[in-house]
Amino acid sequence: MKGKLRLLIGLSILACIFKTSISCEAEKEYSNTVNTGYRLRKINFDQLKSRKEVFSMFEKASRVRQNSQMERIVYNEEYDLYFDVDNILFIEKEGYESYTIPLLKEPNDSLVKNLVLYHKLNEPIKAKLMGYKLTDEDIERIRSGEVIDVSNRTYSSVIDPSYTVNGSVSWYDDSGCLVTATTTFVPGTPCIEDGHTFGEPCSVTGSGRATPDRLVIQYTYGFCLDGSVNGGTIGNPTYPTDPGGGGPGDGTSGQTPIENPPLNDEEEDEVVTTPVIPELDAQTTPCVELNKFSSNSGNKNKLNVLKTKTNLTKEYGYTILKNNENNSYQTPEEIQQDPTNPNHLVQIYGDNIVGLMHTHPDPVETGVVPMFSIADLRALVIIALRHNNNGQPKNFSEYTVTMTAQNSNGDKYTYALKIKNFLALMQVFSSESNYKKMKKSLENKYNETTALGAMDDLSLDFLNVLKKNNLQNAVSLYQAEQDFSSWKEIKINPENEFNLIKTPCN
Amino acid sequence: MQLKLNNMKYIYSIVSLLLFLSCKSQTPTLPLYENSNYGSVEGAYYKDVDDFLNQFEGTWVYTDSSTYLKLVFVKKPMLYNNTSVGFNYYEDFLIGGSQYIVNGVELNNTLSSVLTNNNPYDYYIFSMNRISKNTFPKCVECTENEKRLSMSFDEINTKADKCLEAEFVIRRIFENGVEKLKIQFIKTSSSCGDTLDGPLVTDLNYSLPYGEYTLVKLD
Repeated sequence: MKGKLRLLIGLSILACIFKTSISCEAEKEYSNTVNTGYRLRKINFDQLKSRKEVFSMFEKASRVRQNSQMERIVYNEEYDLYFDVDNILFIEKEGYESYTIPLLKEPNDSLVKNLVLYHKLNEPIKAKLMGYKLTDEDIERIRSGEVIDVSNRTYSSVIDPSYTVNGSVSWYDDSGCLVTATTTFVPGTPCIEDGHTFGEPCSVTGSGRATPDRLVIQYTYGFCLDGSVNGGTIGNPTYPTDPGGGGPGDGTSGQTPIENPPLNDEEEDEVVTTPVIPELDAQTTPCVELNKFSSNSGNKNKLNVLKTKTNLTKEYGYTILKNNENNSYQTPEEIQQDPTNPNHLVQIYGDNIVGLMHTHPDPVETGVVPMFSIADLRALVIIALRHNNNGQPKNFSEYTVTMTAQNSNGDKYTYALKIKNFLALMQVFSSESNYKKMKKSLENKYNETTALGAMDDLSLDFLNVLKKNNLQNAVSLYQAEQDFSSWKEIKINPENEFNLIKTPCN
Repeated sequence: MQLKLNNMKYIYSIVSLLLFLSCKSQTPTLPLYENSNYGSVEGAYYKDVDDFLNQFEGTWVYTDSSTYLKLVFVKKPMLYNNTSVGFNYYEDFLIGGSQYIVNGVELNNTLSSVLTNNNPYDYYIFSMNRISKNTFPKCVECTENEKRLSMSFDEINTKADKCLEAEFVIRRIFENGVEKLKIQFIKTSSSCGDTLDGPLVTDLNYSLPYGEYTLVKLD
């Protein structure tokens, strides 16, 4: 008996140790699940694609056509919509999942629209288009992490991919009556350092901010009592008119109703989501802004001056300036060398500074790598943060850091970094540990390639480190033509990770 | 009875062996240096297989008529390199602290930090990469295959600044039978303040002047 007991205890202990040892990584939780039951996580397009049934519904709902220049912006030709697939919010709770994908907002559209793909486990995926009537101020408040009450300002429409009439989607809600809309406050991620209290700045090195709080809304649709299928807003039912323009109004004018609209044959249809703001303005992109930058004669002149200094052993540079009143470029100003190290530039930020042009010194003489450092990327973040835009919303695609250098053969190149997703960048750069780790990783790669390596190899090193740190869609790398007439975006070839693809900016 | 005891021993041995093999497969040990895939394997242990870091351990001192510089380095094996992005893995680090005194006034002292157990990036001095003679800052007097260690350097008053950086590159030499540490200390990034978007501070520098130093090993 004693022997059996000893054996049982021994095997139990070993089983516990075994279970602990095979447990690999702690899951990266992005939201506080205590007392809410909701798990929220921001995911990227690749992760959405890995969920085959969900992605299949997305493809049907969006009729995907890849835009060759901006892969992360998925364009639906039929509906004339852009999806910001880099800012997908994944919500799950007790066997229910939803994916909220923001659409880029057109300037003349009064609604912020999200495509929501949702289902209970083992049930088919459904799609709904949600529209929120938000002011520009509301949008900035949500972007900065505030929770906004969207009562009386929400519209919805079923997207049934098997069902279209005359190539247009009807914007009045045919998904059933809105029975209830319950909200749950889900606090954002606490600071990663131990002992941190949510809402307080991180006191340990890094000053990492918490991810935003969310007001998760559970919309429950059912049949109306009279058997009709109107409704769809929280509060008074009104309908937006045209998907591409105009605000709410009579949903039937100018629209062809869906014939035989799908009936919601379930007792309840639940959509759990929260407004997600897209990151990019549909009308301006990093490419557009980069072309504007280098077509300005003052900027182009300085870029050419910098090309004459790449064989020297010091850095040279200019600040890129914009007039805050009329948003036009001003004459760049030369940056002084640091008196404590004349080979290095003093960094200047704030006021009307929207970028930096600089050289890296001769790689043969100095051993300095002729490609961006992590400090250069950090400079881009700080430029964007500290630019004084007189309180106006920032267009993050206008900020630029360029680097002009020569390779070991003396051939000169100019590259640029642009922001595509500022929030993603800030989440990484607000942590000192993240910065040091990326710096170490990039310098390790550059050490292998060396400062005398090929420019494409060094570009690949840089892009690989961005990818490793989930920044491949937050920052984009560009190479200029020798006369600065145009630029090409450089990316890792998705078919072959050891090669680059260079796509012209139009 | 004897048979039952033998059976138990046999079971324990088998289970222990399975456990051991399972543990080994979960944490692959990979070289820390000369590894083109460094940092690409979640949960790996990047080990200083050549014991390159060991040569720097100990206490090193530079002194002249008015200044006193002391550095203490400790090798910390298998620190968890854990951040909120990218892969997380284990890694051998060399960490350190410094003391700098000028005309009897102590301007910086982080020596006690080497006794603590921290996230590697929380130390004031920690190892970055092993570099060759031609990597910035170049080492003209180095032999062709000689390796140096680049480190991240901070002092008490500079740790909080988000931008101030300098190359702190060390290598060990023997001169007339005396073990010495050569340091290249070069500023590479100006200060900007304690937050990325807060008050701009551009004139912060280390108390230790930039330049080259030769320290002697104490122990």
